[in-house]
Order: sequence, then C-alpha cells, then structure tokens
Amino acid sequence: MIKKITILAIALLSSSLLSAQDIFDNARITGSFQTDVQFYRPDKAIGIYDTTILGRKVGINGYTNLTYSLGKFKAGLRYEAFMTPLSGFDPRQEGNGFPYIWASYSSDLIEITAGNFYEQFGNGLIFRTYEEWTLGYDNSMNGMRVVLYPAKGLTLKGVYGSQRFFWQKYERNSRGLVRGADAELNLNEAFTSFEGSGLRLSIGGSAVSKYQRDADPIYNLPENVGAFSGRFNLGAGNFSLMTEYAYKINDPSAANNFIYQNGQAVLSSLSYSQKGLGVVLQLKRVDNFSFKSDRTVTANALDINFLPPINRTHAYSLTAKYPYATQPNGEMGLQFQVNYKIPKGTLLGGKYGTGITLNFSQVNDIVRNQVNDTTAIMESGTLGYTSDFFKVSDHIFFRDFNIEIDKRFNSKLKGMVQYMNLLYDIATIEGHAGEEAVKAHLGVADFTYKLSSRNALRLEAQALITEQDEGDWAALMAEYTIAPKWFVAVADQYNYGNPDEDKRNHYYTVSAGYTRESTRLALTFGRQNEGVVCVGGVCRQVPASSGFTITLSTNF
Amino acid sequence: MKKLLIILLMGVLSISAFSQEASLPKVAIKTLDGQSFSTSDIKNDGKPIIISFWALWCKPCQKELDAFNELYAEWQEETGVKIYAISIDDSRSTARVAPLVKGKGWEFEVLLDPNGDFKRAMNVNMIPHTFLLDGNGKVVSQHTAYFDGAELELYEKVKKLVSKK
Amino acid sequence: MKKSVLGLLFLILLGFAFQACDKIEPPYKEVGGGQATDDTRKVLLEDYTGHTCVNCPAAAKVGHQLVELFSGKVIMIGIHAGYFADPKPAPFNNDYRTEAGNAWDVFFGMSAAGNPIGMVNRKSSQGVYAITNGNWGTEINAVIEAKASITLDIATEYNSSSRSLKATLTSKVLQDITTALKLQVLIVEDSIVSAQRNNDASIGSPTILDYVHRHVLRGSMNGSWGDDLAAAGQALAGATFEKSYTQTLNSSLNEKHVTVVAFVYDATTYEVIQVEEKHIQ
Repeated sequence: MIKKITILAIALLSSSLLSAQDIFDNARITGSFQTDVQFYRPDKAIGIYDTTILGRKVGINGYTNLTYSLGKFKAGLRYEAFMTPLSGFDPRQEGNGFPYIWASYSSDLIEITAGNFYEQFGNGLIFRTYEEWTLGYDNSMNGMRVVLYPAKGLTLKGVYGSQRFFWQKYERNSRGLVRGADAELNLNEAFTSFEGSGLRLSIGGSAVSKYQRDADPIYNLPENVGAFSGRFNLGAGNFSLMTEYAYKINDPSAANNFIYQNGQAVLSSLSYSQKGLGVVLQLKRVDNFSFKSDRTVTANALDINFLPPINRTHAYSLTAKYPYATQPNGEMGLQFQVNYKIPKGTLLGGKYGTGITLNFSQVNDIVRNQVNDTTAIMESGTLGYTSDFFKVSDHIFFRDFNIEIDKRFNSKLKGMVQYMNLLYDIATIEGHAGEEAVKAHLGVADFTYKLSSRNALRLEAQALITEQDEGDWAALMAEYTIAPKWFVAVADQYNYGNPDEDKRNHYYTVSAGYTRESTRLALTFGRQNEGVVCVGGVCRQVPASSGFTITLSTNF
Repeated sequence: MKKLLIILLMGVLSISAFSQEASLPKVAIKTLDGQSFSTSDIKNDGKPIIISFWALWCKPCQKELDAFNELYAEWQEETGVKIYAISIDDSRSTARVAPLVKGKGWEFEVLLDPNGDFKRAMNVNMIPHTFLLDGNGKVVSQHTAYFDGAELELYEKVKKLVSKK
Repeated sequence: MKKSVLGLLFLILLGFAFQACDKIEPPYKEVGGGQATDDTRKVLLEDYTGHTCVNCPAAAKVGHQLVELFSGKVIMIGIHAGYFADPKPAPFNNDYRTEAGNAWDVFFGMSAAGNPIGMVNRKSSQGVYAITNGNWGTEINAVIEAKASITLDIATEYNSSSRSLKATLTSKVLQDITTALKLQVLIVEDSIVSAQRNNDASIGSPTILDYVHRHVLRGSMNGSWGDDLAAAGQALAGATFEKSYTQTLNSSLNEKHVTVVAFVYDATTYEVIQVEEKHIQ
C-alpha cells in the first residue's frame, strides 16, 4: 500500500514537475525573530538583594514568527518562550509553545482564517484583539473568521472563538466564548452617483456576544451578554468627522463590582487639516464598559473590546512617567490638538520653518446617582447607579496641557523644546488609594547636532517638578550615532526630590547598538525604577531591577 | 482514500501555482480620513517604492520622515521614487495622525494600520522599519532604527535600483 | 441586489441581538444555604491579602458572603504574604506574615499573580492554583456538594494563665483513599483591628485605620507543610488516626479570638480533602 502511494506520488510529482517548479518559485516564507535577555544583579542602593532575586538571575523573552504564502493560501505560526519572563512581566507569561497558529485563504470575494487571528471592528469599542509584545499583551482569538466582499464598497465580517489567556488552554466552561459580526459600507465605492457629492462617507455597524456559564452561588448572572455599535466616517473638503456609539446589556463582572447596569461608550472626533495646519477635537464618554470574555478576570487580560485613552502618548521617559489608562467603569474626556508650521521665510519661521504642537486633554469621572435610598452606589448585586449622559463630575482623573516647538536652526543643528503641565489622579489610575493627585510641571529639550553627514550627537534634558509621589526628577541623555549602523548612549534619571532621602537614587543606563539591514543588536547596562501598578482591580508590583540587557531582533 | 487525498493535494498545489501574487501582502488598511485602502494598491508604475512604518509615540520615526520630506521633491524628480508612511497608531491616537501629518507638511502618502495587520504581514518587530521595493513590488532591502544621515544611504540604494534598468 | 444584501444583513444582526442576550431582571442575588452534617466535606477558602493592597477588602467581603451563604461549610483564612503585606511606615507597620504563609505564597504562585488572589481547597487547573475572587463562589459551588471521604475532629485544651494550647486531631476514613495524606494544623486569629488600604467606597475610606482583619493566619502548629497522616494505601475505610500538638500562644494574640484550623490534604496534589475549625475557648 505504502509503496503504491510512493510510486503514485513520485509519478504525480514528476508529471507535474513544471508546476512544482512554479510552486517553489511562488511560495514564500517570511518571518521575524526577537529575543530580550536580562541578567539581574543585586543592587542595595535601590533595594535589590540576593533574596529579592531568589535565584532568578536571568529573564528571557523571545519569539519567532513565520508566515508561508502561496498564491491565495497563507499559513503562519509564532513560537514564544518566556523562560523566565523578564522582570515586570506577568509571571503567568512563563511558558513556551505556539500560541499563534493560523491558515487562511483569500480571494476577491471571500477570506477565511482558521486558527488564531487578530481583528478589530471600527475603533474597537466592542471588539479588538491585538498583541503588544513590549507589554506582554495578547488577547488573540482562537477560532474562525470569515470576511466577505459581496459588493463593491461592502465588507462583512464574522468571527467566533475563545481568547488567549496566557498559556491556559481553553477547556469547556473554563472561560467565555466570543462571537461577532461587522458590516462596513463605503458609499463612495458602492454608489457611483455618490461620487459627485464631494463627500467621503462610510458607515458601519457591529454586534458581539459572549457566552459564559453561570455557576455562581451568590448572583444570578447573564450567560449571554451582547454589545452593539454603530459608526460613521464623514469627510467633506478639509473636514473630517468620525463618531462611534456602543451599547452593552447587563454584564456584571469583577471589573464593575457585579452591578447590573447597562453600558455605553461614545467616541467622536472632528478634524480640520490643510497644508501646514491640522486641528482635531475629540470627545469621549465611557460608562460601565469593561467587556471581558471571563467575567471574573480583573487583570489586563481577556478583553474583548478596547477603550482607547485619547490623551497624547508621550515619547520621553519623564513625560511618559504618568501615563493615563482608560477607566472602563466610567469617564468623560476631551482632547484638542493643533499642529501648525510657521512658514519658511517669515520672522518666526526662519529659513526652515518652525513647527508648533499644542495639545490639551482632560478626563473626568461621570456622575453617579443612587438607584434608590437603600442602595449604595456601585453596590454589588444591584443596578449600581444611574447616570446622566451629559453631566460631568468634578473629580478630575487626568489633565495634560503641553506645547512643543521644533525648529531647525541651520543645516547642522535642530532641536525641540516642550513644556507640559500635568494633573494625575494616582489614587484612581494606579490604585494608590489615599495618595494625593500628582501635579507636575515638566520640561524637555532635545537637540541634535550633525557632525558630518553620517555622524550626529543628540542631547536630551528633562525635568519633572512635583510635590507629590516621588517628588522631583531630572534626566539627561547623550547619544552618538553613526548612520545607519551604530549608536552609543548614556543616560541618567535622578530622583533628587524624593521626600524619602534614602530613595534619592540615580537610575543610570549605558547602551550601545548595532543595526544592519533589519538585524539589530542592542546592549544596555543599568537600573530600572520600581512601581506598583493596579489595573482592573488587581495590583502588581513591578520590581526595580538592575543589570544587563541584550536585545536581538531580525526579520526575513 | 489516501491516494485520493494525495491527488487532491497535488491538484490544489498545481492550480494555486498558477495564481500569481504580488510580493506585497494584501491587507485592508485605512486612509487618513478613515476610508478603506488595500495594500495591493501600493504601486508606482515600475519605479521604486519606500514603505516606512512609524507612530506618533516614536520620535526617531518622525525624524526619519522629516528627513525624507526635506529631500522628497528632489528624490522624486531624480528617480520617481514614491514614499508610503504607514502609521501603526491604534484608535487611541489615529485621530491625531492627520493633523500631525498636515501640520508637518509631509508630502508623501500616509496610511493608517490601526490594528497592526500590515505590520504583522510585513513581520515588523520594532519601528522605525523601512522597506525599499523595486519596480516589481519586491522587497530589495529593509532597515530598522533611524539615525541622522541614514536617509542618504537609503537614497544611494534607490539610485542603484533606477540605474540598473 | 444591494438592498437585499443589506436587508438580509440587518435581519441577521437583529436576530443576533435577540438571541445572544440574557437580560436579567431583579432580584439579582440567589439564595443559597444547606446545613452541614457529619459527612459534609467542608471547603477551605484561602484569601491571600495584604494591608496595602487596595483591592483586598472587596475580596475579603466576597469571601465573607460565601462563608455566610454556605453556613458552616466554608472555612476561610486570610493569609498576609507578598509585597502588599510587608510592614511599611505607620499605620502600616504591622507584620501579619507567617513562615507558612510566605512558603505557600511562593509555592502556589499567589501574590506573584497579583493580589487579591486565593485558592479553593488548593485545587489546581492546568497547573494553576490561583483563583481570583470573582471565581471563588463558582469554584466553591463546584465542590460543595461532594461527600466527605474522611472526617476531621478537633479537640482543644487551653490554659489561660500559661497560654498553653493543646490540639488533638482525630480522623476517621469513610471511603478508601489511595494516596498519601498529610495533616496541617494552624493557629488563626479573628477580628484584628488595624489599618488597611481600600478602594471600595461601600466598605470605607481609602485608608481605614480601624479595619477588621478577619481570620488571619498567625502560625502553624506543625510547620509549613504539616505532618504525614497516612502513607499511600493506608487510609482504608474505617481506619482512624489521631495526632496532638502543644504550643504556647504568642502573647500578641487575643485568646478570645483564636481558633485552630486543621486540614487533611493529598500529599501529591496538595488538594485539601477535609477541613475543620474550632475556637480554643
């Protein structure tokens, strides 16, 4: 039998030698690889002793991604090994295996994916699966996805499956199931008659439902929870308006303290842009909108949806020290940003023009009223509260005003200065109950001087001035680069204003790296500050660390 | 049964071998004002293409694109090269991408990849990550990280591609 | 054609909307109950906590609701261990950590997974022992109806003047148990009043100076991992075992609030198969 098959196979192979040749010509395998290795050492000054390291002297995170494609067929996998995970990562990451395996077929009409996949409906308010390697976050679906293109401009999507939860396999009733559908219609593509209107319009809608068994002895819990959303994107000339509204039925969970209130979320942005000027205004309201495929999970895992924080994401170490995280139980926020380039040749613009970015964002709590006189606000096993859609609480979670000016002075020197004023409710955002909100002034200056066409020196200085939390910080960095391959940098962050004098530490790092094509090797020696992070009702200590780090990555 | 499977398999393989595919993966992403865009429409009439992945939170990325922008007019005139900048910002910051692009006056095409689909398809680990494609849409070189002056080396490669023809 | 596609789509979405939603009407709470009898297999709920852990009071509250709901069938202990239990500047200068608690915290991967966290009967799923407080009820519910395969009886003698405590444990096997068994005997102090961080407004302010810490583990009478009770194959139906321990109660403990909590566990899987508690006075 076996022989027969072999013969047949050989015969077939040789008869189709020509096409087999084509197969090898057209099939492609691409991939990427990355590994981060840290060697830890005791460092008494910042409170790391042999006992804190506990023999865990090395942490390694690594992955390899492979994608095979042949015509309309594609398949891929990712191998991951966290052995043991780097300090600061969730210890449940520890493990190795293939968490991401998939195969897909796609044509102009249909696209089918089986296995693991990432997907987003609209802005992700009711469905988004994604991965963020640097944070160790992955909520990929394990199931099937179908995308249909039945008519020009129309896209239909359907998904179902379970989500990744670290290394724990899905077993019957071990966590919830997710199923969803989405439709998007681009009117400009769908109706030729629309073309002449001068408008660009697309509309979309989605529905997502999760199923999780109720075996809870205290509460009568909904086993099926549905969420719905509608959205549109309208462009007219230089203006553009986007709005998405989402609604969710009762979803008592550990994240909302088991209340039975419905949830709502709105995200809207209006922008205007022309050459040299961009303006955007964004509004957001979130009310009881945590949506996870396991109602008991409180950590940063198993999220079905994504509620984007709309404040500016800062790029310098001290300006990014107090980052805002969306409060899924309720918040109202706005953001306003202007980007303007003062034209070349004007008094302020100079020879090269001057760029100005002005950004303001503020997020407040929503107003919650008692359901009745006998029920406390947010009391488990009740409706929880009622809330007026348009009312804003006086409680400010976060406020950030920042202005940035960048300028090129001559062909060799360019630079950027930034001022930021911050209000950060550390008690709410990081769960440091009872601590005063951080009010801080920050300044950044970043200058690059080109020594030759390929050699450049960059200097960066930052200051953070505050009475609260860890007090004042200053940071300095110098970086020397030889394009396109080499860099060396030294940096120090100094907590000179810590109210506890024993903690006025220097957090220094020395790093160097080499890049060739897409292969990059970087070495860092230094210290990392500790922190406590409380996300979604769980607190985890991110320990201080000290030691040597190697990062190697490539793609092919 | 097994025989049948093998025949079927061979059949499928030889059929699919005839369906040609451009070297760039086909992924649905978005334009700056939120309309859908297929990466199979990234074309430049047989001339080289530069694709650069970036994000608002990535300073070196913006430095690289600023550097490209200063030289873009000159580059286009000399070689006809076209630049596509792919923002991998997710929905927390996609609304701020267009104002920044216009505010900076970038002349090249900027597209949004809010859920990292194109990024994954191109196996991008970290940004900035820049690809250089030849006239047939085939990746001829790629580079991660940006240091001042690296754009010159990239342009040398573009010129080489054009002169080869 | 296009209209019909859209119409169909709308119908599908609508159907989806009605099919895939369970709208719950009040009352939202269920009524539990049942009485403990001789052959009841009681359940051990361990709450790993710390005085600077803001989310822990809410978890302790859930634990209590469960203890009340399954009156007499669930025994809860609070174990202070990990970063959030470390003594800090006043008012958080108390140290409720114990050698046994620290050992379990590390071994079962508790505080490393983030507090609050716990275990129900030390049962594991795919090698994971940690159970978040939202799941305690479901996990208890899953084992609460099981019949006991072994009984456990605690007798105590306590002398207030010498503070000497003697605990005698008697077990009778009801059904054959093939694996080796171990016995763990603990000293637990209830209602210790001291500071606690909190973020549940229905419980109190962010720093509660007079928080009542319930059933706090204060020490073990027989080490972190207990003593052998029966070797593999020894625990046959009808067999009885007896052990006794004596210890002098630490002067910092309020004798009026001290209980002895003892449990029998499977030496290979660590699963608790019977648990009991007794006040010393």
